[in-house]
Amino acid sequence: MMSYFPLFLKLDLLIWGILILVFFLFTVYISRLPSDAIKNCKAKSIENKKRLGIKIYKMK
Amino acid sequence: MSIQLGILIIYFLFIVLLGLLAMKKVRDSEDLLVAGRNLGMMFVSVSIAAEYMGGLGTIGTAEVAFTSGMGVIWYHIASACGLMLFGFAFSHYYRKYNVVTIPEYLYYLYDIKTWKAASVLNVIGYWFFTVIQMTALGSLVTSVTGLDLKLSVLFCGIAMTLYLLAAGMWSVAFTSVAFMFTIGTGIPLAFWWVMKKEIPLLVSSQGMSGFAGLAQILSNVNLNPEHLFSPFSLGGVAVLGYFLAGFLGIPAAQATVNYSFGARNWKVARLAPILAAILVLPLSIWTGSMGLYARAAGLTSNPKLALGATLMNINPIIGGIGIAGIFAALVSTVAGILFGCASIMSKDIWQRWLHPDTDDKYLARWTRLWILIIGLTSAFGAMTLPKILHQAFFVYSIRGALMICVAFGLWWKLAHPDAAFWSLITALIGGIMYQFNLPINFQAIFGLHVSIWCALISLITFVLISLCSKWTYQTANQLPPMKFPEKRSSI
Repeated sequence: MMSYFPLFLKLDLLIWGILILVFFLFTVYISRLPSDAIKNCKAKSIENKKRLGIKIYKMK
Repeated sequence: MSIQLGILIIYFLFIVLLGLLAMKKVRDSEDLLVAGRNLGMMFVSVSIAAEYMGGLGTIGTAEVAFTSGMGVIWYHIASACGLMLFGFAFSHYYRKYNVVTIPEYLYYLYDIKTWKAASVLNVIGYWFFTVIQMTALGSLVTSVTGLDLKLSVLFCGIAMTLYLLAAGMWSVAFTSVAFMFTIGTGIPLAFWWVMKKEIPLLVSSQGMSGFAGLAQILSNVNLNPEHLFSPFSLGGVAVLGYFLAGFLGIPAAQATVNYSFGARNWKVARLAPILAAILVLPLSIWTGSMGLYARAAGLTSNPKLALGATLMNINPIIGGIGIAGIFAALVSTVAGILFGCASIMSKDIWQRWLHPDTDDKYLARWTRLWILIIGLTSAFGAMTLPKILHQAFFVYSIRGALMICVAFGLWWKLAHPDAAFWSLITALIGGIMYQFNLPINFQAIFGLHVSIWCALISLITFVLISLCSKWTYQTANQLPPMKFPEKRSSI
């Protein structure tokens, strides 16, 4: 006898639940970070440019 | 005039009006291109989600469900995962750099030639993608109105160009909220109506409604409902393809991610894609179920028309709202890619590459001119090149190569500018050779999807050249002809 509640709905509801949980936890995590937390994210490309000898363009 | 057509016309006029209303928000080119970097959480997440729910996500998923069953839900699960990857790992970098386009970001990671190659590739790729999506939009309008396909495409192209001309990203953000509302009510409402009201009307359902009734009808036409309702009905390879398309396609796709560039701050940019992932997830359940219903009820024999046929055969008001929902999904995608294409064309190729002295006032004009040119040429392309449709996935290959460049540039110490440049070129040339089987029948030999093939060859090229290249001094003429305004100025 086939279930009237299809398997794909169970899977999708599960994933939806996980996503909502992730979103909630990530919101809490992000909101606790200081606003300049990724200040050094340009470090990688600046490092590459230094190795290449390209002048580093100043961004505002 | 049918009720469905009436609803569609009213809705379209409302959308154009909404786009025009955003006009007073625009004071300079930054307002036009990135909405003044002042979009809040709702605008960014809803715009990303609405842009991602395009023709493939609505009509395409119904088509797959029609032929292969509900395994199509993996399409949106994979898309949600791609959006999450973008949110977790990429969006805050883009926003922190204050970039307007993905090629511009590649300049900061690599060098000028990579930036130029990426700009040209993006413009070409997105132009074709605009053509494809405009054809899908025209087909929908044709199926509702009975107008000639070419006329529908022209009509839609002009209307879309008009509202984008008004306020650029602000127009898109304003209308996306309306689109999301329409997609989020129209499609589930039609789904609910089909499940509760239409299925019991069929004799073969024996009066049952919902999935039980659908299973009954399916087994009456000698189909196996257990297989069609299984989330694994498509097989592993198709699901893997969806995931690769999601992971490779989203994080470096200008059209999808440029709303993050307009986010108010990096926190919004980072969280919004994850909210968008939640929003896109259930779509294929609704469209897929309606696709299956079209097959069970024998509404059409053409899988591509499955969703349209279902909506045209139910209560005209509910069906009309559902069609408005699909229409919204298509328009938001066309608007996003047309706008993405125009912003790369005007900001990267036109302003920084060809006319570095263009000031802000003229940039706003040039952006509008390029929206007009790309809008009209792609509408014309859609009128004259309908057979290009099946090459849609070829564009994903370019996005995959860009994604590889961005990801390696961010996280691999040895990532070399030459590697980035040549991996883009290899993806383009290799993709063309694979797509058109030049000079040998690659597809028969390798049996890979073109997007996977392109990502693979650009990955190999990238790694090999990075490992073999030496870091050398570059001359000063390699500096970019870029100018940034010191302060935000208003005209």
